[in-house]
Parts: sequence; structure tokens; C-alpha cells
Amino acid sequence: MTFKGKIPSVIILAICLILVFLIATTQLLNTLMTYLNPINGIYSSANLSIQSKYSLKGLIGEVKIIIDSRGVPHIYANNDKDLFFAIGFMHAKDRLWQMDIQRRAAEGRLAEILGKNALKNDIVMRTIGLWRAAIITANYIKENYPQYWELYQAYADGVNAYIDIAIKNNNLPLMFRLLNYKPDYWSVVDSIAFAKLMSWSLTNFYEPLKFSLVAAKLGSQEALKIYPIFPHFQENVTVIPGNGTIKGNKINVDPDYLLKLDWFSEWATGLNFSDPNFSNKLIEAINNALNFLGEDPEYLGSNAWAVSASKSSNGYAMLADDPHLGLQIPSLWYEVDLHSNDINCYGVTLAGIPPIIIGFNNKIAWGLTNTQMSVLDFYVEKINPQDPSMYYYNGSWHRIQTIRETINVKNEKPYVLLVNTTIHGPIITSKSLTISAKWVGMNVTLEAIAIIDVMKANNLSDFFNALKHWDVPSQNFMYADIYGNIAVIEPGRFPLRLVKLPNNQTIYVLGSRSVLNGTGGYEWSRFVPFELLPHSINPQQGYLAAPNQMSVNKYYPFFILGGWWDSGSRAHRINIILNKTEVSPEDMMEGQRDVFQWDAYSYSSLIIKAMNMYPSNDPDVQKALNLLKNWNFTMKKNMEAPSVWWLWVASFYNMTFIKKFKELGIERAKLPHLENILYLALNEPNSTWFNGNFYLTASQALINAAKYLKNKYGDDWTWGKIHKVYFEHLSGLKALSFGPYDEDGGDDTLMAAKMPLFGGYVTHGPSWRMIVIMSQKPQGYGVYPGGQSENPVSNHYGDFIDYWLNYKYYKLNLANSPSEITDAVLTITLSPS
Amino acid sequence: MKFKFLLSIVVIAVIYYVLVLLVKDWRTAIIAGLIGGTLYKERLKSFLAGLIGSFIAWFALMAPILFNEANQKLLSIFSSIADFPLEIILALIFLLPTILGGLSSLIASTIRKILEK
Repeated sequence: MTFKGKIPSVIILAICLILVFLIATTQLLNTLMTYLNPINGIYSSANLSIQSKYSLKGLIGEVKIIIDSRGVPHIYANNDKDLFFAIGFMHAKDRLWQMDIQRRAAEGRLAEILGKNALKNDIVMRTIGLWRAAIITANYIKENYPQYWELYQAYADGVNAYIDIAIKNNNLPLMFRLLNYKPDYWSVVDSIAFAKLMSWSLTNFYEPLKFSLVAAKLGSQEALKIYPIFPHFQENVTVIPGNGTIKGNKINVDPDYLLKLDWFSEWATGLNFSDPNFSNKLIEAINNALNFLGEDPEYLGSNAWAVSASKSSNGYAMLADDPHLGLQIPSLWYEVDLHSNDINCYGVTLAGIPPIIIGFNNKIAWGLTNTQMSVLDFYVEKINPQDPSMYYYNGSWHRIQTIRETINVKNEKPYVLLVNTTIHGPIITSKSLTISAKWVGMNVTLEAIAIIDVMKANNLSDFFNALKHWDVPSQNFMYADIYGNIAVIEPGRFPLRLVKLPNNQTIYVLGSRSVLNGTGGYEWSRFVPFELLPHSINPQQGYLAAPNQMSVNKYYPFFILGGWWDSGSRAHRINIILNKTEVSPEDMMEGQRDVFQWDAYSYSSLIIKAMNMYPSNDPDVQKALNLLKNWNFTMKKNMEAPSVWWLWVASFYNMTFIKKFKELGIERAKLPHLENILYLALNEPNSTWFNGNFYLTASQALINAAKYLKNKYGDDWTWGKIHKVYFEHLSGLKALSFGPYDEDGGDDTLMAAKMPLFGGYVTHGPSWRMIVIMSQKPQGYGVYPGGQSENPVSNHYGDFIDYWLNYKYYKLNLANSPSEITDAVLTITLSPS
Repeated sequence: MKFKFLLSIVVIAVIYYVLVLLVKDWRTAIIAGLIGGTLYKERLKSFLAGLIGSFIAWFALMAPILFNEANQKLLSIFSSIADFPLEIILALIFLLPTILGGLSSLIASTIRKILEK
């Protein structure tokens, strides 16, 4: 045997070995084949093996789940525990990955599966402490309201029963496969944590920080000018009609005196905004805090209104609701029809939280919008210069408490976060100054039990009683019932501070307008008692409307200092729609698709006047002006005038407030609402905010808008080319998302579709449209953009989107018995094992 | 001769099919190829037997998946996520195990040839 004769074979062998090695070990190829191999590839996530019968531990009796042609489960159980178990089972079957990612977002556990890119979110969430708050809340409910805790535990059991089945059948949803992990079991804390995240995202208004930037830089008068305490033009369109008195109680100080006071001054805040040394430090600290915290709910909002039986064309009370939340895929909402011995209810749940949040039963209907009231304060802490681990409070030094949070990071070492807290709450910045945040949701809150009782309510009294437990997020609960009643109430824990006024009188104020001194004296002393919460029952006008405008008028018993209401545009518009002799169901639907732009209507004469004063012969500017002159102020996607209006707004902001804030180093200051700018323009057209001349700036803004439109879009300025809605998958993956689609509406139209000021898609809007006619058998209509299933190959992945885009509604079938379901496609029976 | 060729194809196909089911790893084509390849000294035929055998086994496993509408939809979504044409992904799914089987078979027959010389 000689080596020489074997050289070709050896070479072939070597080449083959290298090739085999390369193919078998190349990461990319291996990943591809792992995902796509026929035995345990991703295919099993698309083909769920759903049986018609399951024997499961934890059930007391048999539960029947009938799934209709839209994928909506109609669940029939003999008791509430089994009902909640079945909701958990169905949520997990259709939305398990969404539930997992949402609880991780709330608990600060995203980095565990997404790696270090998600660490920033986790650090913020762990600092705020939603998970910690969820744990104490769950424990409190377990000890004090065990019957409610058992329902949430039954829900968790239902989720976990499905997780076991999915793992056994290799049926975990696609995203688990793509991200290569398995879900942990669900717990009561997970449901509460996600509820806390929803609460946080609806109440984390950073206005006290943002307003303080302006007050620190320009003085309190300028801040109060562009951020008035009581928004201009909203006196006649408040959520609660009337002058604000509640059950004969009214504020004991002249509200007009209060509104003129300097609420940034030392008597109000304990801080000296006029001290340049302090102000500079404060600006640096706030900028740092805002960078840490990220965005606040600028794009969120909602509409709700109710019409009494006496005013409705059919003689029945009617209710409409459309919460403007993230238009995500999978949708936030999951439709259900629930039946047990004491629950018969239809509506939408949040995947991860079992009760129906917005819906109706056989007697009542309810809808929610955000009250926008302040329940989050920021305190400037005094740190001991000798010992930075101590802070001053109520006359003595206290040690800063440190909570150690370990964040697991995929493919990295765990990140250890030390959260420093004072008596107020977590410290969010220690740069230049130390600022802590105090939010009502950081403590035990009981909305998780309130909403269960709302589902069971049979009349207005039950409904109000249920809401006594509602803490956060404070909401306008709109109500209508089969007896013809309508009502609205704003339940929530609204913190009150006792303030001594310059005239030595003392009053309770709700919320704050700036950061506060943390050394004591500016603390929450009590909460608004339930009986004095803003509410209205069967008002004379025959309707109620709550599209995030000012809650209640000036004579409300407590002075509302902190509230971040939306512009009153939608409130004005819906008041016009509803303020007619008779309102029909079609009017209710028309209201939800209405795209009239109130601000454009209010501003148009000023812009035209500006162009008369400072004309331009440019043909594009002439075109823009003519479009505005001949416009009916509706933001239709096939029109050109909305583009001119929106670009004028962007250009105007850019030439005024954005420019000014940038020059002053306070870019994160809040852009004032158009209605407040309008008030300033009418009363102080030569304000420095307008570069000394509102009309010249307004004219230049139109010229800029026309130039921009011409350069970017040529001669076709159609709104739909600029304004598009995009339903982004929670993963951000385009392949799993929908759109972009040309879209009607805009900022502050009833059909809300706000896009970022300088480009981007509409990503927030009516996340659920519901209209209920409270006849003897209530008739509900609704639609949300998305579908019941998160499985991208399911027919119910995005099947509602077309209906939503075209303003159509599905009939919501509150089927009190299975025989009322005419489009059943599958029946699943769960029985105890 | 033909019989031996067919035999090695069948051996490779059966071994690969069983191994994928048991071990749940597409790279078991290496083992199947190495076993089947020892039946042959002729390198080209051995390579072809490995190719064909592993292709048959893989096709038998993949066919029910590819003829399912939901899976076709899923593959198309996967190609969008991966930002890679579906045709290339499909080609890779079939080519990789096939080539691995062929090369492994060739390795086995080459080793046998070296040892027998």
C-alpha cells in the first residue's frame, strides 16, 4: 500500500469532509433548517390540533365553548370560576404569544427573550415597579377579596391548561418558535401586571415635567399663557354638563381667582423657579428624566357618548364608544360572549385580563374614555450633601431605600439594577437634581375586581357601586341601560393636596402643574371621595359626551390643577352632532366616522386674513389658499385640502414653538394645543411666541407648506398619499403587519387618526368601535382592526381590517343560549378531569 | 450492479427517514450517507445514491407539509420575514439534506476505497 496512489482519494475525502462540515455547522443554514424541517419545524404552529373535547384539571363542571364564523367564542359555564377558566383557555389558544410579550413588557422581562436591545424598556419598567405593584395588589386581593382572586386564579389555570396542551402537541404560536423560547406558566400577578401597564400607559402624563421646563426657562407667566389651567373654549363642552357643582357642593374659593394665580411660584410648589441656578439644574434634570422615561400617551384618547331614550329616534337609550389606542397586530382587544349563573355579557377583553372591559349585558352597556386627570406627581428631593444616601423629608434625614432588580438578558450576563426610592417613589434621575415619581398605580389598586362587578351590574346603582373599587386609570365610564337612563362617572383615585393660597385661604387641589418640593408640605393628603367624583345622570340635554375634554367646570368642589385634556375639537364636534332633536343609530355611527377638523374650521379665517395681509403670487401658494377657501373642513383621504392644513400646522409649529424650544434647550417641552394657540393669536397676535407677528408667521407657514407639498408630492396633494394607517405587529415584523393604507381623519377629528407631525404612519386610533342600542334585548354593533387569532395563517388573523377601514360594523351577538348562535363553526367542550 | 445501486438508495432513504423521525435533525443525512456509502466503492454512483436516497426520504417527509395550504401560507410569511425569495428557500430546504447525504455517501465510499487499496 503506497501513499502516492491514494492522493486523489485523500483530496476528494478532504474536500467532502470540509463541505459536509461547513453545511452541517453553518449557523444560518442550520437555523433555516431548524425552522423549516418537517418534524419539528414551525409548521405545527400553523396547524393547531384543536379537539372538540378536553378533560382538564381545575374545572368544577362542564363548559361549552361555541366559536362562531368570526372566531368569537361564546362561552357557557355553570359558575364564574369555570367561566374564567374557559376565558383563559381561549385567550391562550388565540393569543398566547401576545399575552406573554405584554406581561414581559409590564414586568420588565423582555431582555430575557429579546436580548440587550430590550434592556432599556426593562430598566424603565423595573424602576417604575409595575411588577412590584402587581405582586402587592395580587396578594392584597387574595387576602381581602378571595372570591375575586379565585376567578383570576381560575383564569390562570385555564391559560396554563392550554400551555400544557400546546407544548405537548408542539403547537406553540409561531413567534415562540421564531424567538426560540417557551412560555412560563401564567399567574394572577401576570394579569395584574398587564393591567398596571395599561393603567400606566393611560396615565403616565409627564406634563408637570414638560411645563416646568418652560416655567424654568421663561417664567411662569409664559408657561400659564400657553398651558392654561382651564383650557380655552371648553367651558360649554365639559364631560359633566353644568357649572361643576356636585350634589350642591362647590369650590369655596372664586375659581377665576384661582385660575389667575401663579401655580409655579414658591407658595404652590415649594421651589424657586425664578432662581437661575435652580432653574438651570432643573432643566438638566428634567431633560434627563424625560430621556429616561421615554414617550407619554400623546397619541392616546377615546370617544364615548350616550343618548337618552327621550332623545333617541327609536325610544331606546344608546351608547357609542371607540377607545383610541395602539392599532397593533394582534389587536389589543379580543371579543367574547360570556355566560354563567350571574354573568351574561358581550364585549372586548384584553388578552391577559379576563373581564370584559367595554361591553354590554342584558340590562346595561358601558364604554370608557380616559379622563386625562393627573395622578402622577414628580418631587425634587433634597439630598444630603455630606451623605448622598440620605434625603430630607418632614424635618429629618431619611435613608434612600434600594431595591435590587436582576434582569436576565438573553446571551448575556444578568443585569443588576439598583432602584433607589424615597417616600414618594422611585428616583428617575439624579443628574443635577434628584427627582422621584409618585403614581397612584404604584400601590394596591382594585380595578381588577371593580370591572368584574361592572359585568354583573343590572342597573345604574349596581354600576356605580361596582366602580367604587375602580382606582386607576381614571376613566370616564359612559353608561346606558334598557330603562332609558344614561350616565357618566369618572371613578379613580384622584390625589388631593392641601394648599395654602397667597390670600391665606386653604383649598384642596387635584394634581399638579409642575415638579414639587419633596421635603414635605406638598404631599397627597387624601383622595376625592366617591360621592364627589365628577358624574352626571340623565342630564337635561339628553346626551353625554366624553372625548377626553375638560372633565368638569370651574365650580367643581376641588380645584383641578393637573389634567392634560385633549383639545376640545372633538367635544365641540360631537356636541353639534348630538345636539339635535332626535338622534338615530345611524347618527351614532356617523359620529364615529366623522372627520370634520374643528381646528381647521376655527383657524381658516385667520389664515385667509394672513394671506390677504401678506400675499404671495406663487401659483402653488395660490393653489393651497384656494383649497383652504373652498374646503368643508373634512379630512377625507381623497381630498387635497387636508394636506395643506396639516402641513400648515407642522410648518407653523416648526416656525414658532419648536424653534423657540430648541433655541432655549428645552426641546422636550410640550407643544401647546391649537385651541390655546388660537386664543393667544386672537388676544396677543404680537406675542414673541409668534416671532412678533402671528399673521406674518401664519402666512409664511402656508408658503412653506405649499413649497413642501410641491417638492415632495408634485401636483397631487391628496391626503391619502401622505396620511396612511399601519397596523404593526408587536414584533415589528413587516411580514406579519398590515398596511400602510390610505386613511381618512387626522389629529383631533372624531375618527381619530393622528400621524406624527413630521411624517410617519398613523399607528393609533379607534381600536374598537362599539354602538349599543339598549332595547329590551340590547343590540350591539362593533368592529376592531385585526382578528381574533394571532396565528398569521388563520382566517381570523386580520379578517376585521377591511370592515374597520370601511367603517362597517359586525352585529354583536349576545347569545343568552347556544340556540341563538346561527353561525357556529366549532364547539369545544371542557370537562373536569 | 443496478440492484446494488438501488439497494444503497433504499438503505440511505430508509435510514435517513427513520433517523429524522427519531432524532429530529436534518443533519442525520450524514449518518445515512455514511452507512449507505459503504456498500459502494464507485464514488460517482455512491454520491448519486446518497443524493437520491436522502432526497427521497426528505421528500417523503416534506410532501405532506408542502401540500398543506396553511403551511404554504406560513412558508410565504417566513420568506417575507427572512427577506429571501420563497423559491430559494424551497430550493435550499431540498438541496441541503440531499447534498449532505450525497457527500457523506461519497466520503464513505472514498474511505472504503482508500482502506481497500
